[in-house]
Amino acid sequence: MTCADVRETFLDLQDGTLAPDEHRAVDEHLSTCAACRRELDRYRATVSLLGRVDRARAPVGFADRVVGAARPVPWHRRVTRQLLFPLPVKLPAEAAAIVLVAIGVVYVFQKTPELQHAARIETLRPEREVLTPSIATAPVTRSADAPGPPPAPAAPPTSSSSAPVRSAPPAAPPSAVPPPTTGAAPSAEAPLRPPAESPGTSAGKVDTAPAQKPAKSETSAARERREPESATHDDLSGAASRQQAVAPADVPPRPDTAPPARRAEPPAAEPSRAPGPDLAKDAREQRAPRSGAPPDEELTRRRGDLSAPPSEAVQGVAPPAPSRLAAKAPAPDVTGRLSARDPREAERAIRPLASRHGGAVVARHIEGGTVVIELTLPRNTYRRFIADLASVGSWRPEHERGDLPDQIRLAIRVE
Amino acid sequence: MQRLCNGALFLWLALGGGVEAYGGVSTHARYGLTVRETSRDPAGLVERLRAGEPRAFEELVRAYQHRVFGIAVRMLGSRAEAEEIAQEVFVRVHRSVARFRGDAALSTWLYAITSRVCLDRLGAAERKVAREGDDALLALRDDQPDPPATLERKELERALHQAIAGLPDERRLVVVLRDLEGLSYDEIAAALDIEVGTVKSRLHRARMELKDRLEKWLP
Repeated sequence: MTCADVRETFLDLQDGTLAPDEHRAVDEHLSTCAACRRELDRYRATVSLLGRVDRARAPVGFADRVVGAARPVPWHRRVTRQLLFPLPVKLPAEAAAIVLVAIGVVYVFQKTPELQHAARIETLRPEREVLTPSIATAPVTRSADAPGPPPAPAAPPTSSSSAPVRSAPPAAPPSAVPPPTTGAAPSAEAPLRPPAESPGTSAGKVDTAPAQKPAKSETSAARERREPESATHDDLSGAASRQQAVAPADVPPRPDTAPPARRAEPPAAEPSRAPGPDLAKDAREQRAPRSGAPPDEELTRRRGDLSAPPSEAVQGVAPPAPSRLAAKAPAPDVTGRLSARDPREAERAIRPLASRHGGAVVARHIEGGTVVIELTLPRNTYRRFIADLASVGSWRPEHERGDLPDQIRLAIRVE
Repeated sequence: MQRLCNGALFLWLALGGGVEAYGGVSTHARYGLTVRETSRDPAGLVERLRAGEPRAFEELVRAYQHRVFGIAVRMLGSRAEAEEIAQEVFVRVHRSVARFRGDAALSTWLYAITSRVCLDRLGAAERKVAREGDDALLALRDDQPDPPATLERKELERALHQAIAGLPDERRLVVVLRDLEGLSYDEIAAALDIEVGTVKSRLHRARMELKDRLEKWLP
């Protein structure tokens, strides 16, 4: 047996698993070979040294961590972890995403005039809703509901019902300064005024135009008597009503002309300011039975009112009752007809055209089968708008106020 | 035939025969575990694990955490990496215990997973260049009649650690499993899926290599 053979048996010698005859042969070799004996001693010392190595211990809490890691994580905790962690990465990224989306929304809103217009209309609707109950509770309305006056044009019952008002200061000028009214008037008018808007920038502003304030002071009786004339007034060719409607709002009242309250707005304009023809129709249907008189008679009475002296007109200034009809229908400063091949197409083209010139469509109603669109325009863009209107159809002006206000109210009858 | 032999060996090991084959109880007892705990799985543990009982898994972890961690730290030379590997081993066991057929002892299956995970990590490309081993991972017990001075012992521990770390992975694994963790040849053969003769051969070569590396410290 060679040294190499003997050294191959060291493991079995160490374990004591060497066969007896082989063990005997190894012992014979070891007894004569000092080198192999020395190697075997060192081999055993190595094994002994390895056996002295202390056992490694797992860190404290290792078992708890393993058990926690193996336990299934609830879904909500996994989602939270995925959304928020690592915090230094996820939070800034999510905040940046929110800011980007917000910027995008604002950008789209600003670049889309339709959205802005829709937002304006949305802000107008609550005002009208607030206005309605104020009419119902106004004391003047109750007086108007009193036994109906005879339809005598020369002596309108309004004068008797508003007799105490005549003693009120006759100031009620039709200028931009609101007429002195009782305490109820401002409160009723308050919802009409968008506080943040600058003069003449939107349709809501037009509602609070000076002309409406004298009209607001009209008695309900007078309004109701004139109600059937709404169509007549809206018919821009009506001479009497147009005379009243287009009178300059900022011109001092003349004794021989219609009073400022009348100029402010005939009640018939209220339906025209309604969002659509349906509301106008409803308003007419509701008021027609109350007047109890044929339209012709109503018209006659109405014209009698219009020709009444200014003192009678002033009568309506003092009562605090807010007239929904008058407050919502300022007179157009310019009226005219637009003849187009396709009235619907022309109507659709007017809105963007007005927006392009800084204006906005504030009302649309149907009179005598034709569509009347009311819009407001800044005075400085009015002429350009009229010039551009030629691209839509043939424009024939019927009336134009001498001194146009900063915000021009334009009534276009599309034919 | 070979499968039958292996099955008989596992049965023998499960009944405690492996302890005698390894050379006695003392090697196992030094780990603070009884022979019963090392050679046999706790009663009904496998069934409870298969049933998904959380408490059973916790018992398994607490029973084998030091052994699994010990193998990993000797193989990888890094406590942090060893903890990571040991945790991965137990998570794998938790996921796949339902598929454990029970052909071998649960402990053997656990060592097999541990060995495989360690060798995979050692063979990973990023690990070859990234990890730096710790020097103070190995400590010798002071159970000698004349223990060496502290400084000398520290040097011996460092030399022994470096000698073991310098072994090829497969030989080192056998040394760790046999001489440091006290597994029997059959357990090692079953865990590594190699022949017992191969185990002995690798162990002998590893010991001879260590003997040469530790020549300065040997008589």
